Amino acid sequence: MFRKIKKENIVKIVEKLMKDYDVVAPVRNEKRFVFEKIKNPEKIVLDYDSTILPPKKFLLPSPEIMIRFDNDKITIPENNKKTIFFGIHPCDMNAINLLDKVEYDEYKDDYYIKKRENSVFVCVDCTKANEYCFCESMGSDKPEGYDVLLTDIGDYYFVETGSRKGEELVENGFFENVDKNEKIERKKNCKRKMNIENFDKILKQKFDDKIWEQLGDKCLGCGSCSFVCPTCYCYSVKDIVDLSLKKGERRRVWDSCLLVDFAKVAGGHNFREKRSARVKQRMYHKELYFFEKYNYSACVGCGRCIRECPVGIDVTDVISKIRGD
Amino acid sequence: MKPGVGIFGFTGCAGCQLEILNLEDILLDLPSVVDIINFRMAKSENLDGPLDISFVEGSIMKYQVGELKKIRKNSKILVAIGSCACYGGVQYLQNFIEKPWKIVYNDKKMKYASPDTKSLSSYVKVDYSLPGCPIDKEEFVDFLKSVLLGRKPKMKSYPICVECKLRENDCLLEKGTICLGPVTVAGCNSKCPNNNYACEGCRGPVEEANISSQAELMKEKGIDPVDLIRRFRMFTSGAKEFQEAKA
Ligand code: SF4
Ligand code: SF4
Ligand code: SF4
Repeated sequence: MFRKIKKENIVKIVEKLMKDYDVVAPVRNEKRFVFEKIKNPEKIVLDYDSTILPPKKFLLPSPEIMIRFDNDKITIPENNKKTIFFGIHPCDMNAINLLDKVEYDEYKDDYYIKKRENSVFVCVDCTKANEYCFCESMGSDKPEGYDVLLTDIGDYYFVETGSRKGEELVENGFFENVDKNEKIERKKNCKRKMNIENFDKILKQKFDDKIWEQLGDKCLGCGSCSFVCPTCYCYSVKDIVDLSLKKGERRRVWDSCLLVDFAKVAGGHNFREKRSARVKQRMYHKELYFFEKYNYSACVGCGRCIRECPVGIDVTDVISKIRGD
Repeated sequence: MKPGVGIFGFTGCAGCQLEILNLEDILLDLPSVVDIINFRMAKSENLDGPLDISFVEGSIMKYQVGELKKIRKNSKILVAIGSCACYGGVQYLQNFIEKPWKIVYNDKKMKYASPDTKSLSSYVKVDYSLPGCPIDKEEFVDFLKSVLLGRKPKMKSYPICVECKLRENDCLLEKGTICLGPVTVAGCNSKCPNNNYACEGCRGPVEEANISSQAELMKEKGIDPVDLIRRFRMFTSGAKEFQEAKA
């Protein structure tokens, strides 16, 4: 179904949606953008480049309370609030499609699934790629899996729906009919590129390349690359108790394969003792192991890890180096 | 039986002990889970021991060694609290300067030699360290709860950046400010970066801190070599990593 909506009506539609949903949307944070639960729809910025943290901060929040316990009594926190993600980019939507593969098919993560089913995704096509993005190389610039898709066409957003949920959402006075099915030209806008041809084969050959040592010498082990990645989903679990020591909650928090003790086991052995092995693990998981399992790279080319790495470790540069480009 | 706890202070500002007293929400509940055997800052009747856990603040001057050894002998677990106890603190800096007193007193005749001040572990076995200037009081309580539960307390092995990123702060390094977050051990909930102030490393180096890469990064941001070493050494110059740091 195709419609259009006047830009000035975005605030009004969000106000209306806020009656039934939590609305999560990009807002300005100093010089950058973040996803936030909206209180004032005027603050929403739809022509943003990228956010610091991806939408997983709501779908796989850190911390997430898994259970509450009080002596022997255990309760699982209920949250049935419906959420609309308003204005997420195709790369982030595609990242959610990838997370689905892990959280539905492989692990059946009820915490994720519940939030996912209670969510509606209104995507907005990206117009402001920054110097780090390379989604076009990863094929994730093509929006998929959305409920509603908005494309900037000047004074209006062109509106496409991708699901029943989406169709219901556009059934109101704010969305105008379009005469003919105008075909929208999606502008290419990434400046950065990554050549992913024969990716898997090349990575397999380069497992012992000296580049991993060089990157290990440089990496600060800060974990930022994985915390900001829309498809990194690793976590660790900890119990928080009050002073009675009988009452508290079990939380899960984001973890990262870049951190020193990620692969440390009881007894103290560390399966990835060297920093070079940790840097390599993240890249191999994204670009090879995930691909072998699901036939997709786990990288959507959002560029966040490149931007956030304090020492400039850049997946596009690493891949082009091991290719010998 | 409630475990017996002692809280002691040596050479320092006493700010870490004060942080414990600042636990206003739970302070009055603490005596229901531990016996406070010795805490001179908070009570007037104090015994030497026996102690299940002693928390020791401050760096150690020569004349204090005997006292520290006595505490060690009386305690099952000894915990260094604060960066003075863990690394020798700011005052350890004098070890890098020849005749440091001259800077302050000029040629005035000194009655005392410059105090030789060191971390607890220079003299006794330290079981756990809770660094920070001052300590983080929540981390102190978490530590205590682990001991009370009979669990091995888990020490943090990740840097400040982890806490900072989870709060979605705009990275100061990206904004051109030099931040020691990547080489500093977490535990303060990234207090400084949360307030747009760079991490100055008061908690000391994180496990496997990559000092040389951090130094390269700081040089790229335009710091001069003398300042670079000074930055690293401000709070925890007694840490091996920062003693060996090269510009
Ligand atoms: S690996 Fe980097 S560029 Fe790829 S999706 Fe993750 S954060 Fe984005
Ligand atoms: S962001 Fe960069 S320095 Fe930090 S862990 Fe990732 S690769 Fe290493
Ligand atoms: S502001 Fe400092 S602590 Fe925060 S992510 Fe950047 S370097 Fe790390």
